[in-house]
Amino acid sequence: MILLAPALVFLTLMSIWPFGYLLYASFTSYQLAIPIPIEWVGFDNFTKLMSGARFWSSLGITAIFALVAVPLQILAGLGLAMLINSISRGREIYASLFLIPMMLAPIIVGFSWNLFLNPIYGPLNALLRSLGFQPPAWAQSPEWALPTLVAVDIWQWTPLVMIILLAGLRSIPARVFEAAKVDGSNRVQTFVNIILPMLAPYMVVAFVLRFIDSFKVFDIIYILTRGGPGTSTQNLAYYTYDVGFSRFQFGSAGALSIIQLVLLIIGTTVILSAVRRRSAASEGGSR
Amino acid sequence: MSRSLFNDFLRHFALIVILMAVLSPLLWLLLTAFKPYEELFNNPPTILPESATLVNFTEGWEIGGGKGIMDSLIVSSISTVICLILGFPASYALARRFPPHGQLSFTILSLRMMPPIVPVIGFYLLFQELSLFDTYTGLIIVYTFMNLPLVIWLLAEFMRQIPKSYEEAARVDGASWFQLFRDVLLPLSLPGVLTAGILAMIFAWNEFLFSLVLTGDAVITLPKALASFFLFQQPNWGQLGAIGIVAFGPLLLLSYYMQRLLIRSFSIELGGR
Repeated sequence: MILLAPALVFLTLMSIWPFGYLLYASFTSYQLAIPIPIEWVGFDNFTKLMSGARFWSSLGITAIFALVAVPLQILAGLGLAMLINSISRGREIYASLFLIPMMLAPIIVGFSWNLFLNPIYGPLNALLRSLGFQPPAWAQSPEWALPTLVAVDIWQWTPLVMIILLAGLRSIPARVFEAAKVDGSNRVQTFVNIILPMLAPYMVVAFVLRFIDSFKVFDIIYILTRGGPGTSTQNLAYYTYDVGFSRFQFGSAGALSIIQLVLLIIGTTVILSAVRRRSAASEGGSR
Repeated sequence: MSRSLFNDFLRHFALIVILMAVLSPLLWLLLTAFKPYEELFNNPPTILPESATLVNFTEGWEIGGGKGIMDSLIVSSISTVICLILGFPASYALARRFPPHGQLSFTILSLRMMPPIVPVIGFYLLFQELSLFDTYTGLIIVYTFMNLPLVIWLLAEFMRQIPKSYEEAARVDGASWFQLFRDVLLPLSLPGVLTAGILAMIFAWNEFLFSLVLTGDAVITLPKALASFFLFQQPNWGQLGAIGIVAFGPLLLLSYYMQRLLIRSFSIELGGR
């Protein structure tokens, strides 16, 4: 017990102490720039936020990362994992090379894509122009900025899904496939009846991990769009940063953080309980 | 037989094409690092540098890359060492006294799941109060907080693999707690310690939001130094690429090790149930 103490004391202290400040700020008129006395305002920060359009649009954008980007990552990761698993040799080499996007600092990811997609001197648009297309300005265009960020997020995090599903594919014993072949099952049937069910727990883990992480998307937005054009690519994290550290309204920013924490807890609980109910049901059915 | 060989060839071909497409933005940044300034904004751009140069590396180091690398080294290595010192005994206790998927493990790990934007405001206000804003100490505390849960959890996984009989034998021989840790547990869990240390180091090295918000002009970590180049309308991409290669390229060498580690951990975590 005494061995756990230093670490637990540190973690507890460092969660509760700043969290106290956060809670305090979110129920007061805490602003750094303005030397007015701090007042207790109750739920004012929360109600003001929720009556503003920016809150709902940034919530929508966080939802797009969680519910559009993540499923696409699962699909792409599944495809890649199946392809890598199907080759005879060199699997580990491919897996290591495909892992590179997620090993890099998000800030470098942002820079590479910013340069790559630059409408004037970037190589992608030069290529597209030479093929006769009229490419958009990607991260700088109002219509394309959000899809571009979603694509970069998919690019960066598909490798994690791929690696989780590779672990899953490896766990399926070869005799299962042999048995399926003996039973005369074709490729599609094998995939639907054997591979997918056996990968299901791995896909759930990938989904939960990526769902939680999708609330963290910040660095690539900061580097690629700064939340713009206008506020069109501000997710909750970026909006919180903007309110807190561009305008120094810590009351509102604190309230925003707490809202995100609550959403994340609710979201994860809903997913996990749905999964538990499902697996309980399927176990009951197979008995 | 030849048909399956052909299929295999097609799959390799598909994988290589996808890989090239996926890595092209990074390869582009790599090539850009060797281009002189005049060549950066050519339209259409040149693929290979026409007059390759290393000037971006020396200039990049001078205008802030060097400071960034030093500060990042200080902050991430010290926080990693503290994580291991605090985490090692804690993980032992966790592995021996608590169930593998119990409440305590879950609570510790869930701290890791929190989006950094949530604690960052609290840390900012606290650091203003304690004069820790823009200090190495402040950032080290935050990175320790960020990585300690993962370090404890990972080390506990490794500790569970060590047979209890080893430490019982050491206890019978009259070894003290310190001796038990230093002479028995540390050598046996060395791969785990290395793994946890490398991961903590990478996460601290790559971290951006905390250093953006919690430091000013005194402490400038690498990601923050790179982001500050970007305040200009037309950043010097050559210097950016050069610093990027020097600072983040070596991490990619760990990629092979990392995919093994990840596949193994997910297999154990999910296959074992």
